[in-house]
Amino acid sequence: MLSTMSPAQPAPGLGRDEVLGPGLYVHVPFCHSECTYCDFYRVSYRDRAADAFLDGLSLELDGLPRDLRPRTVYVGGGTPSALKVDQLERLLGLLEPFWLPGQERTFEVNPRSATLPKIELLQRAGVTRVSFGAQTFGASALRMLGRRHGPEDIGRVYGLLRERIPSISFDLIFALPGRSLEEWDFDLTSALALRPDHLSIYSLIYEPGTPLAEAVGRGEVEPVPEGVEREMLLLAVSRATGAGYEHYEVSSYSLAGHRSRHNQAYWEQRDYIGVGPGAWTTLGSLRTMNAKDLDGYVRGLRERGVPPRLEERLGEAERLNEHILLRLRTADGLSLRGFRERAGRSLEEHSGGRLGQLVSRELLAADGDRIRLTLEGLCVADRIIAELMA
Amino acid sequence: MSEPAVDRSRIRNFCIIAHIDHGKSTLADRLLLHTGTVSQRDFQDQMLDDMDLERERGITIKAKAVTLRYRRPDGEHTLNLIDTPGHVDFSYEVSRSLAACEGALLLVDASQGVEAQTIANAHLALEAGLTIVPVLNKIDMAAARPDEVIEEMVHALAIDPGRVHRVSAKTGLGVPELLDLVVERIPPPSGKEEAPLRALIFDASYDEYRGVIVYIRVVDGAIRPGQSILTMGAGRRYEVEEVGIFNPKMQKLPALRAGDVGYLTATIRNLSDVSIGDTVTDRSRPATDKLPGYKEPLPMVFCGLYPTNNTDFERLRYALDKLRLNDSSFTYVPESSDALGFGFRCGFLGLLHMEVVQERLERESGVDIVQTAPNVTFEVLVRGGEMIRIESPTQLPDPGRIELVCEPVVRTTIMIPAQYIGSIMTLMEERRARYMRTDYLSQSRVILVYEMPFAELITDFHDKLKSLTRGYGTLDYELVGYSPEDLVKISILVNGSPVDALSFICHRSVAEARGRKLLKKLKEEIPRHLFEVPLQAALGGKIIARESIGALRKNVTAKCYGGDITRKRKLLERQKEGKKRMKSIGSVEIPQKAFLAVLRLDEEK
Repeated sequence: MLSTMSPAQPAPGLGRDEVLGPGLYVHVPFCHSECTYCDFYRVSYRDRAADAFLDGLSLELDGLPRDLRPRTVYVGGGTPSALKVDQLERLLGLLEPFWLPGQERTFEVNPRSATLPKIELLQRAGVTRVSFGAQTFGASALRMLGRRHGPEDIGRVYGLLRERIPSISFDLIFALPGRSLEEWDFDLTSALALRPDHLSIYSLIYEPGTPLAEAVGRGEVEPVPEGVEREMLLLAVSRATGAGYEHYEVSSYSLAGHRSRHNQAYWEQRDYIGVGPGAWTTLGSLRTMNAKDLDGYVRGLRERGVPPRLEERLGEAERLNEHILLRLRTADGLSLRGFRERAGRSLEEHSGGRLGQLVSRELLAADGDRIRLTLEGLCVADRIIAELMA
Repeated sequence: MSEPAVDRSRIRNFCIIAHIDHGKSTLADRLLLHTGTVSQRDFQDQMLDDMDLERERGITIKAKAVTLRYRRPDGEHTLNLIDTPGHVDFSYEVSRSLAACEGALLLVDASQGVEAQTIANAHLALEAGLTIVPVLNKIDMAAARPDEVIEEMVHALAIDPGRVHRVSAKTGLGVPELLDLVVERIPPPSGKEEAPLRALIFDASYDEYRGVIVYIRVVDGAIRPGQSILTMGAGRRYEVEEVGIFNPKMQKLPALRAGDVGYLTATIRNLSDVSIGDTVTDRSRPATDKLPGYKEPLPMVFCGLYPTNNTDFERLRYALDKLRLNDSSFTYVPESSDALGFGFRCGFLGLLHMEVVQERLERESGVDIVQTAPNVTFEVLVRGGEMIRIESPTQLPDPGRIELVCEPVVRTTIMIPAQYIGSIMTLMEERRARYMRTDYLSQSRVILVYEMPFAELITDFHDKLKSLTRGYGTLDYELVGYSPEDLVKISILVNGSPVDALSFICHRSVAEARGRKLLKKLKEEIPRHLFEVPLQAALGGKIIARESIGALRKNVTAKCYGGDITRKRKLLERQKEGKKRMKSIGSVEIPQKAFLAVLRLDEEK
């Protein structure tokens, strides 16, 4: 059952999460360098700006409900590890009031800026999980992406993390221009050899407006052909699942007990609260985004106690479309009965008969009450989801 | 009610004939201003109204017939300026407007020179016995080459070079003298006021409040409110409500007499009840003969119009009904297509007419429309000797029943700069055209005359002509008859099912090449699906070409976390919306552009 809007409604199988509130996301918008593919909100790291950000964050966190009991805390960015040691310490201090026993606490960490003192800080603060932005083992590919670390940093920092943090997630990107299927196999094999608890495997997306997308527009960068990209995706699935990882969402693979609880909450349409510039919050049918403007964020909090925000009201149609979008991306799939209860009609009816067609083309598999993407369907999941939307 | 009638000898009825953009409306505006028919201020106000599309009902400065009062030392003259449609699609309408006049200003742009339309309309005017006043416009422009253009006029139309009058409609230069030439060269009307009423209907428009407004030229007799009238061609009876002139607003008069140009209203509800070219007479004292030249407008180009969404059928019908109130020359009958569902087969006078109607239809109804590629009418002789007229490729009988298929042939007049003769002759050969003759207008400009299948002309010919001549080529055509040809129907199969709306009729010699090209075009236009989509072209039962649209291989974005959900959902919702505007046939979504692909077979990607 998927209805999740209030923390009072327990979801089965989630243990002590049942009584806890929405997930808390903290956006740290600083990076030492700009990755050419990234379209998240971030600015170049500057000491004074980082202090001002922490001032603003402190005010924003003060404004959260006193009794907020986040099931998970996720600190992302940007690059949280770009903060200096004392700033990182201050950040952890600001979050401490929200610490609860048994909570999943994730920090995004980058191989270049994660030094031993910072990692030890995270360890002492009880961070349970890091998401490690390795991306690729190819030196020239890392340079093309605008990453400042080299392949040699990956193993070294991974070793430091492994000894200190209980659960490590490893990020990889495929379909990098100029990188062959064999080289991608090398990346996969190298990552699996480290035996991380979790893998996030992304295909490179040319987000409009990013330096990389513009280079493609100018003809300077040649994207990997669609057929090769597909082979790369299928190779990732087979290598990771072959090594014992559960493929539980389009881009997510985990060893037993290491699914990302924070991310799963997004896919279950649970509430979440985001703080920091550019962070999103969804509470029931209200979705807001803090403006992507660090100065405005700090000023707004200082002067009015709230950052400038954009607001979106989700109607039932939007929520249903998101339900299809998010549930189908997971291995748990979509419950037909759950859908009918929400929508007041079956998914077959909702999709104008397309569900049946997709099942008969073996792009979707029906297993009793559950509908899931097949391997073939995974490769074209976006189109399938668009077909099912009303 | 007894205003003295204007002296008949002081009336002049004339029109302006010109190629599009040669300054016809600017000159008309200038004539209105100079005669004080409108003031400079009214003129600007009116222009504003025009832009707002909020024109006061019944009047516009662009009225189809404006009465100008022109004062000269020998007294006041009444000049009736009658508008003519410029385009060849409306040549019948042009001929009726000309029939309401005794003279025509033949306006030629001093830099552009004589164009195909200029010649076609000038010939119509000469055939109608009109006095031509040749006028060279835009002589103030830097690019003007008056001497060369006058030479072209002499060559093409046998005009006396000494009688060409030079003006600039934009600045008003030469306009007062032009008004004098209208009075001096164009003869006054010659009708008999005592004779039984005969008035020519040369145009009509629909007004929400007054019903149909009929534009008439009284040839003989007089017409008054209260009079019982009869239209001699269509045989309809009415009682006249009001008569008057456009000044430029509608101005009521006690009567219109022989030689006058103006309007009548008579509680006529439907524009289709009024036939352009028909003769109005008095029921109690009818004329014996109607005025010559009346005929029903005959659509020449047909296409299917279908609502993208089948539930919009009634809305589309309503929109067509409404549009026909304003334009009685297009036709529509319901038809159904296996591929497109229920829609209408619509007939138009020509390609431009088709575009005009469609544009208005979409703008005014808000219904998303799928248009099939236009086709011409064919005459088919079936076994047993019956001749049938078909308006759509799907109506073509089984090959076994066909004795003969005839297609319409048009005489095409093409005017081009001389350096393009070679490339245009090659184009004409590809289009199965038969060479008739070449006329040199001057050393640099040429008229080519061909007879060609009309079907070849409606298939992207105009764009091709323009691109081969860097925009300088112009074209005119007229129907000369039907000719038997070896014509076959090509059927198109998408994903194994025939899509009737994509089928077309062409000459057997080009069938295979066209089939192949069409499939290539369709491959570009139809987006990839989750499965492979085979495309086939068939002649009779035989596949003559095939193509395949490969399946989508990878289409999945990686991240979908808290900040990605809204954007991702909107992206997919937009995809979904885009698909809704396509026509779903079987399980294949076909965009509107694909149905017109057959028109653009010569385009290279």
